[in-house]
Amino acid sequence: MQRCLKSKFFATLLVASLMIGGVVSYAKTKASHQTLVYAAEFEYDLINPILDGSNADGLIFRGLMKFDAQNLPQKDLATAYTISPDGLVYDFKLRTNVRFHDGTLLTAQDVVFTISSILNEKVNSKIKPEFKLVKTISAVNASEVKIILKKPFPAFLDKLTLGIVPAHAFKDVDINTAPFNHHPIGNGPYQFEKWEKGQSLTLKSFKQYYRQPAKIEKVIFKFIPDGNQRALQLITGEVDLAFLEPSQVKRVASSNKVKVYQIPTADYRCLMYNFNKELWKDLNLRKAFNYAVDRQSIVKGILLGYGMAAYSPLQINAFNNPAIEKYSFDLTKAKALLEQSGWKLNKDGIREKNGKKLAFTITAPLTDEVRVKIANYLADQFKKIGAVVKVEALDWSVIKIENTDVFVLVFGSPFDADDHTYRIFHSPNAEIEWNFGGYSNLKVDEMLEKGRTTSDFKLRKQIYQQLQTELAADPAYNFIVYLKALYGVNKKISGIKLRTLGHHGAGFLWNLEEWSIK
Amino acid sequence: MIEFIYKRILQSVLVIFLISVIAFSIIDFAPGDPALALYGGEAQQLTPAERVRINHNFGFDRPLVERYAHWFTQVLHGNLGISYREGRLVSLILAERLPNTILLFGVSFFLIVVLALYLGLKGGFNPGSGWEKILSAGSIIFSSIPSFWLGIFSIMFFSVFLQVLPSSGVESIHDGGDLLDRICHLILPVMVMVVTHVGLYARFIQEQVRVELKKYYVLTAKANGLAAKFIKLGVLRNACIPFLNYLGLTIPGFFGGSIIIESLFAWSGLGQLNVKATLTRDYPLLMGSVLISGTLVVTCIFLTDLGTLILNPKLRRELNQ
Repeated sequence: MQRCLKSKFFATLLVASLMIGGVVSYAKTKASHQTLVYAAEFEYDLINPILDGSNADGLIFRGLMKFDAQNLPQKDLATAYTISPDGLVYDFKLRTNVRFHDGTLLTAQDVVFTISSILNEKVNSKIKPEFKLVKTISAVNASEVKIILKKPFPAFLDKLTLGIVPAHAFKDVDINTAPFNHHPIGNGPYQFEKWEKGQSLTLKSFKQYYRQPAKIEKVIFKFIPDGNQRALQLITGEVDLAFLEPSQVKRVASSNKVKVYQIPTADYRCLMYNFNKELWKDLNLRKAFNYAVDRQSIVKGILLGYGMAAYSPLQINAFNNPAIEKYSFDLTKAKALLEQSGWKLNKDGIREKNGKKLAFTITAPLTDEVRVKIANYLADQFKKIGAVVKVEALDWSVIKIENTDVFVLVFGSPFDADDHTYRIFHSPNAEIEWNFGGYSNLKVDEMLEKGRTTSDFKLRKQIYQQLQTELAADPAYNFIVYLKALYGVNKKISGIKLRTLGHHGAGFLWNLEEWSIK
Repeated sequence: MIEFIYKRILQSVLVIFLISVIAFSIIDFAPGDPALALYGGEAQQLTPAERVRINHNFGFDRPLVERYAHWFTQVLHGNLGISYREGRLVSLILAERLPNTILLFGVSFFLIVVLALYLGLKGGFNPGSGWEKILSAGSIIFSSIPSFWLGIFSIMFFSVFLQVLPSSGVESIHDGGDLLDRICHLILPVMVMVVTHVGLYARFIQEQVRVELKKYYVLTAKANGLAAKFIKLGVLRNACIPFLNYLGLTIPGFFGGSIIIESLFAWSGLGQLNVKATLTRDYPLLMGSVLISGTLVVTCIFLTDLGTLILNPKLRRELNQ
C-alpha cells in the first residue's frame, strides 16, 4: 500500500508541475510583436530557387524581374533591359548596390551561375523546363548580362523573376546536396535565421536590403500538416495567416480576430479529352459533353461557392475573350449533338453507335480531393445523356495521362498568355511538354506561333482572343471551374495587396515586405 | 543467463536485418521513382524526358541488385543514404526526429505503466469494490475513444476554449525551447496517449491480480499468518510477469498509434516523418525511418524480455540448467 501511496504522490506531483509549468510558460510565449506567423501546410524540403520554387523564395531571393499587382514583370535587380526586335537577345543592366545576406555584392556572375545551373543536366532542378529555350547566357561585365534564346518566348521575362543565388556559396559542392539548400543566402528583404526541422522556419528583416527594409521584423513559417489545426490556431492567434479549405471559412470568419480573403486565381480544373482514343475525334461528342456539365452546381456543391464556371484557359487574363461559346449547361443541346453523331439510345437508356456503347473512364489523381469529387460528380451527370462513365482515382505513380480516356487536369497561370497555352495546346512535338491528350489544330498552332512573335499588346490581344474562339469551336478540354483561393489573416496585419493568384493560392505573400502589424 | 542475453541480442539483430530486407523489397516493388518523388503533388508537370534525366542522376536506372548492394554497403558504413527530396543525409534527418519521438514515447510509456500499475493494483486488491467497477467500465470507455477525436477535443478545450496550452509543435516558435516550454507542449499529446491506453493495461493488471489472489500459495500464506504486506508483494511480482509480456507484445502497436498523435499535434517525430516519406515516395528516407523504428521496437521488446527474466526465477532456473 505504501508503494501505491508513493506512486500516487509522485504522479500527482508530476502532473501538477507539468500543468503549472506549462501554463506559465505558454502565457509568456504568447506575447510577440512584429512577428508574422504563417501556417504552412507542408514543410519545404529545401530552399533553393535553382532546384525548386517555394513561397518563401520571394522573401529570401530577388530576381532580375518581379511581378507587380497586375502580375506583370517589372524591373527589380535589373535597372534596364533591351530585347532585340527578333525577340531572341535580352540584355540586362543590373543594380550595383545589391548585397547578399552574407554581405557580398551581387554581380552578373551570380545571375549567370543561377540560370546555367538550372540548365545543368546533373542538377535535379524542377525549373529546368521553364528555361529550356535559353541558348546561351553570359556576363558582359560585372553588371551586365546577355541572354540569347533559341526561339522567341514572350513569357521569358516572367521566368526571370527567378531568385538569384550567390555563386560563391556553391564552390566545390554538388548543388543537389549543398548545405546552402538548408541554410539559404539570398538578396531579398528577409534573411534566413533558423530552421527547426519539422517545426518552423524563421526569417528576419534584412537591414541592408537595397529597397526599403521590410516592416515586420520576423516572419515564421510554422509547419502544421493538419488542416483543422491550422484553422484553429488562426482563431487562437497562434498563427496569423493560413490558407483555408472552403469548409473552414464559416468557422474562421466567425472569429472577430480573423479576416477571410477570397482571391481569384488563374487555377482551373478541366476534363482532358484524349485524342489518342478514337471516341474523342468526333467534334459533336466533345461539344455534347461540354454542354452536359452543370458548372454552377460544381461551384456550389464541391467548391462551396468559392469559384466560378470556366470556359477558357485565359479567362483570368488581360487577353480574355468573353464573347466565345461558354457551353452553358444544356442537356437538350447535348442530346441533339449526340443524336446528330449517330449515338442512339438503346432500350436500357444507354447510347450506342454501331453496336458500341458510349462508355469511358474519367481518371483523377487520388491525392487531389477536388479533382476526384469533380470526376465522381460528372460521371453521375453524364448518365443523363446516356453515357456509361467510370471513375478511377489513382496514385500518381500509376497514372499515365496519355493512356487515360479522360483526365481531370489542373492548369492556368496568372502570367503571360503564352505560358500556359503554347505548351498545352500546340500540336505535339518534342518540345511540347504538356499536350498529354495529343490535341492538334493547325489554326491553333499558327495563332500560338503568332502570339509568340508579336510584341504589340493590341495585336497580341487579338491573336489570343481568336485562339480562344478556336479552342471553343474545337474543344481540347471541357473547362469546368476556376478556384478561388481562401486565406485567413489576423486583423492586426495591414498592407495586404491582392492580386490574381496561381495554383493553390500561390503568390499571396508577394508584397509581404510592405505589410505591417498594429 | 549471459548466454541467453547474447542469443537474444543476436536474434534482435537478425530481426532488424530481416526488417530491412523486407522493407527494401516492398519499397522496390511499389511503383514510383526519384523523379516522381521530387515532383510530388506536381507530378502532372513531370515530362518523360525530365523523368529519365532525373532518375539517371539518382542512379535509379541501374539494376536492382546493384542498387541493393550499394545501399547495404552504405548502411554497414553507418550511412543511410541521401533523401531524394531534401538532398540531405538520411541519418541527419533521423537524428533531428528521433529525440522527439523518444521523448513523447518515453514519457507516455512511463506514465502509462505507472498509472496502470497503480489503478490495476488498487482494483485487483479490492475485488467487488466500486473502484473495480469504475475501472472496468472506464477502461472500456477510454480505450474505445479514437485518439484523433480525443486529440481534437482536447485541443478545442485546452487551446481554443481555455487557451492555457499550446495546440501543436514540440516547442514555441517564438524564442521557445526552455524546459517549461517543452513540457507544456508535451502535455496534450502525452495526455491523449495515456488516456487512450492506460485503461487496457490497468485492466490487464487487475485481472492478473485477481487470478493470483485465488491461487493456493496466497491461501497458504494467509493461513500461515504471513503479513498482508508480504502477500501483496508476492502477488504483485507474479502479476507483473505476464504484464511485462503483454507490454512487450503491445509496444509495436502502441508505436504505430503514435503516428496519429504526431500528425495531429504537428509533433516533429519519426511517425510524422514516416508518413511524409511514404506520401512523397522519398524511399531512402523511408528505409532509414523504418530501420530506426524497427530497431526501437526490437530494443523495447528485448528490454521487456530481460525484465521478465529478472522477475521470474523459474525462467532463470530453466536457463541455468
